[in-house]
Amino acid sequence: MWWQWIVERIALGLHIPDGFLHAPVALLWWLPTVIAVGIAARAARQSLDERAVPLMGVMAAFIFAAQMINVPIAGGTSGHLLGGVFAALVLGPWAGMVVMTSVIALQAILFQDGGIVAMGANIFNMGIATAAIGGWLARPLLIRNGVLTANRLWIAIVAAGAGWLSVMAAAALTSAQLVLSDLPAAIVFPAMLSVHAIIGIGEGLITAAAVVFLASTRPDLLQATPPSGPVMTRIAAIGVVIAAVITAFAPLASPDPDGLERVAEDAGFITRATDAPYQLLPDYTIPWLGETPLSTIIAGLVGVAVLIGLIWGMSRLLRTQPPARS
Amino acid sequence: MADTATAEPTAADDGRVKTWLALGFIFTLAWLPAGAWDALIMAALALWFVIGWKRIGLWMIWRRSLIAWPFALAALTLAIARPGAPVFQFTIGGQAITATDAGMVAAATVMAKSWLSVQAMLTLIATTHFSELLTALAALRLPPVLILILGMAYRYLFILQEEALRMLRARDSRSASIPGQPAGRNLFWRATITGRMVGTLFIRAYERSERIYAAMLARGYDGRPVTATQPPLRPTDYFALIGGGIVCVSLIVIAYI
Amino acid sequence: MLTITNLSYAYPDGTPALRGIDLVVAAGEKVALLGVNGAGKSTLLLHLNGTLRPASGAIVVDGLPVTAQNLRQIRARVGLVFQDPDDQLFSPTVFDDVAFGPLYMGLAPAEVDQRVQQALQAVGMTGYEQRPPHRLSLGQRKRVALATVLAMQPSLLALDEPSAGLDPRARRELSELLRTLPQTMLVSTHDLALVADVFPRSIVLAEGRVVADEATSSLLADHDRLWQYGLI
Ligand SMILES: Nc1ncnc2c1ncn2[C@@H]1O[C@H](COP(=O)(O)OP(=O)(O)OP(=O)(O)O)[C@@H](O)[C@H]1O
Ligand SMILES: [Mg+2]
Repeated sequence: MWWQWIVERIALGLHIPDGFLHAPVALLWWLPTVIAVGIAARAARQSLDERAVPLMGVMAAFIFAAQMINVPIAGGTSGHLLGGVFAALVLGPWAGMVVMTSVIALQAILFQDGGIVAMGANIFNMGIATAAIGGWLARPLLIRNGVLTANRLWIAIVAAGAGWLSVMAAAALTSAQLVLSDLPAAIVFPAMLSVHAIIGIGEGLITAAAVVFLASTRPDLLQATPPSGPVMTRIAAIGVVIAAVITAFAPLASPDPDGLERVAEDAGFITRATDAPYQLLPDYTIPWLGETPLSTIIAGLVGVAVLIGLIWGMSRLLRTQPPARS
Repeated sequence: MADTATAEPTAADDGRVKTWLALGFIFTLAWLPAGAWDALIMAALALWFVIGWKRIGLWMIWRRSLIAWPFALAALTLAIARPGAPVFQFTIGGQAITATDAGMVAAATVMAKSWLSVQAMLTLIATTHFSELLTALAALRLPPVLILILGMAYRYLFILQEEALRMLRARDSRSASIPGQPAGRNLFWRATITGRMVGTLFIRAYERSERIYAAMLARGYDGRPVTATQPPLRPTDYFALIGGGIVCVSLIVIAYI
Repeated sequence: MLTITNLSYAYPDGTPALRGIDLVVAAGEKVALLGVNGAGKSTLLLHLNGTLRPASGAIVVDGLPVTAQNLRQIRARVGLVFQDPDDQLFSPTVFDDVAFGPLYMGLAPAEVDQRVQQALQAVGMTGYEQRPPHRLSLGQRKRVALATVLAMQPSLLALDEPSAGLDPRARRELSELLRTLPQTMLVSTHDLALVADVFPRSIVLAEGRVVADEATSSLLADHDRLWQYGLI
């Protein structure tokens, strides 16, 4: 049915087309993407040596195909896999990033799913961030010293959680970029995050089932790629910081940095939405600094710091309490 | 789809030139400010002129460009987000919502830029083989490994999609319901089945990559990317690049003066 | 039981595969579908459960037209086995695959178990429940593929070359099984021994058209026409 097609395309609304992002925003997001993909391509080649090309090439084609395998939800709509967490869980974070980058590039080039100028942002949201969550957050919780935990339930929980989180992270990043490009935060954030909170459930369930299945049939595949050492993690941390800085400073480049919220107030609409629970920092500004770009930047930095802290704390917490092995 | 590309009309044009021009055009569009109608109209005319000149078929491009419009709905939110003179008002759930003139201009600009960018990409892939695209990207200094991976992905893309499609077909064929009995159990079960299909497809793909690797080794592959040397650009190619560059620069100039 | 009127179909790439098929099969009838490679046999069978949608024409199974609305019910009635068993088997184990149809229909676990056992026994694959399908031999996979639809107890079996790749004894057993199954059958095959054994009626396709529809005995006796149709 034609409307299902539309619903699905909107639900897949993580592929930002060209035209939506302000040029400076789009170009700035190319920066962390290029750095991350550059490191990832090198690291993946080192750990996989000559197998890198056939393995990652076919895996990119696989993710592409796997995104077609839908799970019927209700009323003719269905959920699809994004695949970043799955790719990073089975191939490791770096190879996962390279694979997802190839997928997103091919989608933009061949099927106009996502734009060209916006590709830097799209790769970061759907490829780098998701693979980072799968490879640096979930993978260490499942595979220790190259050995996969035997607890299936634990595998399912971690994979499902990471799958859901990855979709939310991608949606949040996408929303942030759209908002930096003057789309109304009061609509974009609640709409994107609530829709993807549901879509993420599909991602989580499919990822969990696929990983549990692999754990029971071919655990060797999950353990094959070497674990990422502390050096990799440090590089990754640098990448995250760069991304954070860019998120924060993009408002300077944006022609109308504090426009959104002011507009909302000027026009006198969605007054209720501004005190929505999503609004961690009211109006994205620090109250005592007033509505200046500086205040927006600091607000952005605080938000990113909170997010990093949450992820770090969570992984520490989970690591110090190893799950009971069954 | 790219594999049904009609390469004949422009086969003589260098793939690198076409790719760079298309990318340059799309990057230029990204810089046009809201309400730059004269520049946008000129850009559209320039693009459509090329489409007509190279006999690509404007209708075909427009039909395929429909793919972009669902997301364009999101641009409508711009209409109510910008300060300006109110144009019309409506209420949703007790909320009065006002569309402003500046907002509508911004929304229309985004849609126009989005639509033109998609058309430029469609024009490019309708006339350029994927291998030429890769050559063009390689000349832009993308890491050779990435180029090889993209090429490999493209090679197996349709094969694996076909495989996924057949799995879906098999599942649908046995997704039956008998009257008076709720079908499909629950979402959790269906997601499990789907996840296992993904896992099965993954194993098949993984094993295929191992066979490919063995076949590559058998033919002397040692992990070093082999990049074909590229023929030098011809004078006509330079003319095309210079012409395209002039168009892009003038679009920017028109938009900002 | 099965009525096909003026069915035509062309693949998306433009290849015309069926050109005006008319066909009536009565309940309980067992019909062989013959024809050279590319004649359109698989394409026709894929229409029976709505996997492919006709460009024109209509298909009615058991009084129920094959349309988008009826698809789920049609699929409970038509058991379609694909030519390539790898297309049919998508689950991690043989058990999961055979159980998928009954589970989806919402049957109780005990009933599902019983149906899986019955179906596997019918095709002689008892004991392979926990094996992954992609680790089986081609002939074994073909038998499991047949079991996956038998477990759904459809009223019409549409089998695409069920005997291809089977060893002689497995063919004999398949032939025996098809003879004893009560379902209406439309079975595409190149195996004339199987046709003579199981199917009283034969239909020959050529370039997407029905060129012969008659008693198997009379067709098999006509050496010239068999030659002309490319069947020998
Ligand atoms: N997916 C497809 N896309 C395009 N054309 C196809 C496709 N599948 C089959 N065809 C074409 O449709 C025609 C009928 O094919 P079909 O598979 O129905 O033949 P068949 O009688 O089953 O042959 P075989 O005995 O080899 O199985 C052939 O000309 C074939 O090339
Ligand atoms: Mg066939």
